[in-house]
Amino acid sequence: MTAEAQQMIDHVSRMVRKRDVQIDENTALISSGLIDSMGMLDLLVKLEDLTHTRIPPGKVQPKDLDTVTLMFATAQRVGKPRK
Amino acid sequence: MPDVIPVLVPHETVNDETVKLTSWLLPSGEKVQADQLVAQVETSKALLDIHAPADGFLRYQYELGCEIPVGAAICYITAAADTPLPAPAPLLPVSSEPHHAMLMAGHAAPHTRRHAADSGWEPGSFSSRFSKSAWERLQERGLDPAQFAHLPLVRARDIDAATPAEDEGMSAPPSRDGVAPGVLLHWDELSRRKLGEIRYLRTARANSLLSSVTVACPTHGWRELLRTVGGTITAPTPIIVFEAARLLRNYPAFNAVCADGRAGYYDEVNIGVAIDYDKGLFVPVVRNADQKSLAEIAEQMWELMYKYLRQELSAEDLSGGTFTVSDLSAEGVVSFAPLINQGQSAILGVGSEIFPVAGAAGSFNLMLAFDHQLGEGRMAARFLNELAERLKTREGLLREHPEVNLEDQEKMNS
Repeated sequence: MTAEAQQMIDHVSRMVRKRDVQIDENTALISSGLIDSMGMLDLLVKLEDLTHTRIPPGKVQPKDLDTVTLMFATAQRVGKPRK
Repeated sequence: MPDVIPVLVPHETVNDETVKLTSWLLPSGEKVQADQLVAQVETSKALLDIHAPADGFLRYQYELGCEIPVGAAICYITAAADTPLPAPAPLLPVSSEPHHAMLMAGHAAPHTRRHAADSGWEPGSFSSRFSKSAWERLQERGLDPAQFAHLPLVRARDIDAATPAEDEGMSAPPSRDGVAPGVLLHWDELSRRKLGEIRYLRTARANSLLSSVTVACPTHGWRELLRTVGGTITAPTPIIVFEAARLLRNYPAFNAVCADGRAGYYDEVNIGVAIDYDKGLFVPVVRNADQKSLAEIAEQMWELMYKYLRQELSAEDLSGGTFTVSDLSAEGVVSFAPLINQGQSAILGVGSEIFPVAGAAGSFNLMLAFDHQLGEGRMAARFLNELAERLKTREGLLREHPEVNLEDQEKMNS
């Protein structure tokens, strides 16, 4: 696991704030209801910062951000290098 | 092109007398093109982009962090790199006339500076700029403007600091009236944004006769339906905005404003959506929401929320709201009393889902705070019941997504 993925997991854990939920790279976040729509965008912004990219919100669906693994795959697929 | 074009601070938020300079995008003297972003300023509500109105050379004197009066020249576009800038003239408080400056559009704004001679100042005696409130206090207290000549911008607090406390008590600590007796406390200045918000909401409250009504709306089937619809519609809010916007056409009293004993009914239905996600309370606006499809509303809300998180909301995103939706469902709030925004007559509050009995179907509260000068309790109750009915029967969803089979959904739920 990359350092960025670990940072994202830490970020998600802070957002979820549920002690009994253990977040890993493949935890379903949105489809499980752990993250709401606003939180989803918060993840998108964090992902942009971690990957130094700009990800057009219109090109991202909730399923693209459902797990940490999917997030980084999405960034690689649609992210554009930040100027 | 004139040799020197002043670039004026736009008048975007009615309560702001000054804006804070947060960034220069280019060094002074740099060549720029028309519409090029040159600076950003912060108002009480948003960050504003300042664009060059024409090709030329960017010239400025202000440093980052300066408070610049609305309507004053933040910088100049000159024909040549060494074109002389206008001599620093003493300025009056900025004009209260409407300005239409550089925000997003890139058109030249009118020059709104007024020279000291217009009102009896002695030109050349000092070169400070005064905010409107500072100038009013200065005159009120009979102070000599020259005593502030060392300050490039004089604000109200500078005037207060220069006024002996015993004169008017302006510099004294706040009164203990209304403070819990016998308890020590310390005072903090409220943020600029909070002060703007207070002025804004107080004005609305002072001009309205607040009343409110609440009804419960069943939620059964929503989650499954949302999954079926998919896309960026992951929460009920876009659907509520969609349905409320259409319903408001039948309830013009809630898409209006009351002023001077008259009712003003808005021709557009522009829904503001209150967002507060650790970056301050903002209300970006979905314009003409009654004419947009559910998908369009959801997409626009998604983009506005993204801009909020990136702190990139423009004044344009925040202006023109005629009705507001405030959804606190994600915070576990069942019921609350939303405050009507300035220039509006109603605001819809959305609470979180509650389950009266474990395992039973849930519901959530819809709360309408409205101006009783225009609406009435019964009218508000009808509006909410009709809205709840639309949400319950998913009228909008079915119109937009005829492929959704409600019977299948009901079976899934049961």
